[in-house]
Amino acid sequence: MHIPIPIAVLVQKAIDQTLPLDPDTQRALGTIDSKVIAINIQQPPLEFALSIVDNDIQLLRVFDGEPDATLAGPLSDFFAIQSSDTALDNGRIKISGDEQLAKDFGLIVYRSEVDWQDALSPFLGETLVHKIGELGKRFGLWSSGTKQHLREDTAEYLQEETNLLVSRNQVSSFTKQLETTAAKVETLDSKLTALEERANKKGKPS
Amino acid sequence: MTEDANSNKTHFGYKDVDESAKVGMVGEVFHSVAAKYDVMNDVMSFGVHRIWKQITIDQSAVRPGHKVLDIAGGTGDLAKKFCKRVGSSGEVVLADINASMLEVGRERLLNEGVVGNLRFVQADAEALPFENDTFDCITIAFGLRNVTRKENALASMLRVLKPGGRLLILEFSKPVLPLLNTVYDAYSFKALPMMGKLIADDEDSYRYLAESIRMHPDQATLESMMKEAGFEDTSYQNLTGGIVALHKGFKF
Repeated sequence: MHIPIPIAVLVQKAIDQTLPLDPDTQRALGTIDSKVIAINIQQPPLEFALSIVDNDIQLLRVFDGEPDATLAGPLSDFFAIQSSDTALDNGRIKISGDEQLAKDFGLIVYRSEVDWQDALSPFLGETLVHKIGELGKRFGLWSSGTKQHLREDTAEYLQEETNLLVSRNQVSSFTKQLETTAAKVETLDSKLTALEERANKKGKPS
Repeated sequence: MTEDANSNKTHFGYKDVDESAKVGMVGEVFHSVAAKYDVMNDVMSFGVHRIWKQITIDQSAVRPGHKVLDIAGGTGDLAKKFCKRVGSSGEVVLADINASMLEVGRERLLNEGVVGNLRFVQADAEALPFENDTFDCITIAFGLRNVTRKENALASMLRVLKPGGRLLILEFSKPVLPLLNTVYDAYSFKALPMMGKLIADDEDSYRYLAESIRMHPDQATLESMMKEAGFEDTSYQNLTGGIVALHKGFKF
């Protein structure tokens, strides 16, 4: 489904009013200038595209051409882009086309200081936008928390349960011992060299 | 096609006139309505012309950096939106054969701050003064029916369109619903000239508008004319029950 024309007009107005308040975001948009990014929201179904023109965003209700990148996924995951810099890495939003462009765009949205929730509420209704935004934020927090826990749990399992990996302390202690041994070997080598030189001198006829 | 090749006659509304005379007569109509053109468009179409034009923009696939030619661009409704889309790296050319319309368009767009990537050219659609393969997209909204030799205009558009570029023709057409046709006829021939008299003090020009719409080729005929001119992958979309149709064709 495409955005109805009156809503598209209101969204564009919201963008036009909000974006100039965040010059950093406008500058960042310059790095992806002239690109068209298609957004394909699946729940609820909604399609549109964003064209980056002269540090500005143009909402294209319909783009009957080939976009540079396409992002597809549920609406809550799109809102999560603003609260998590890894929202495009978890695979919930499918990226096709120029993946780097999509990620650059995601980072610009994440770093932007624009409160899109506030900007969008006049036409979607404050309650709905708030709920979607909260869902997105919670998902963003859950996503980064889960990522951290998963990393810790995996490390613990591999070190403690399966003994496939040693702990960081053991590695550190081993490295120190190795360094000490290497230093001692070096000292020994120097001493041996010195003894050899002395023995050679004594063996020579005076 | 309504022109009679043997006698060099063509239609001006319901009248048969010499081909050479039509340009001047259409010119007079638009000189007369130029000042009130935007107001009349809103009143006559109840504002729906804005939706038709937005759909045209949607179908254009115009992106930053593109070159767009808006023929019969008049007061610049489409050109203004295209300027935003193409950005500073692109260019929009607003062409119109009528100096009065062009003047109104230029003044309006300048006042609205649309400058930098916009050029105004007084040009005849039948002999466009541009090099071959220049534009990514060409639009002509509510202008083709006023062109004397439409086949020449289509050929000229094809010539200046880049390979891969598209032509969009937004024009009044034939309503596809029988009931709508009856209402539309009554509206066009009774209400429209009356509104023209009341708002623009120009009943004749708006009678010409209604008549010229009826003499314009229907959806299928116009599509076949586009194919004959060399456009490929042609299609059309009826808007508001066929009162208006948006034709699309590509140059490959």
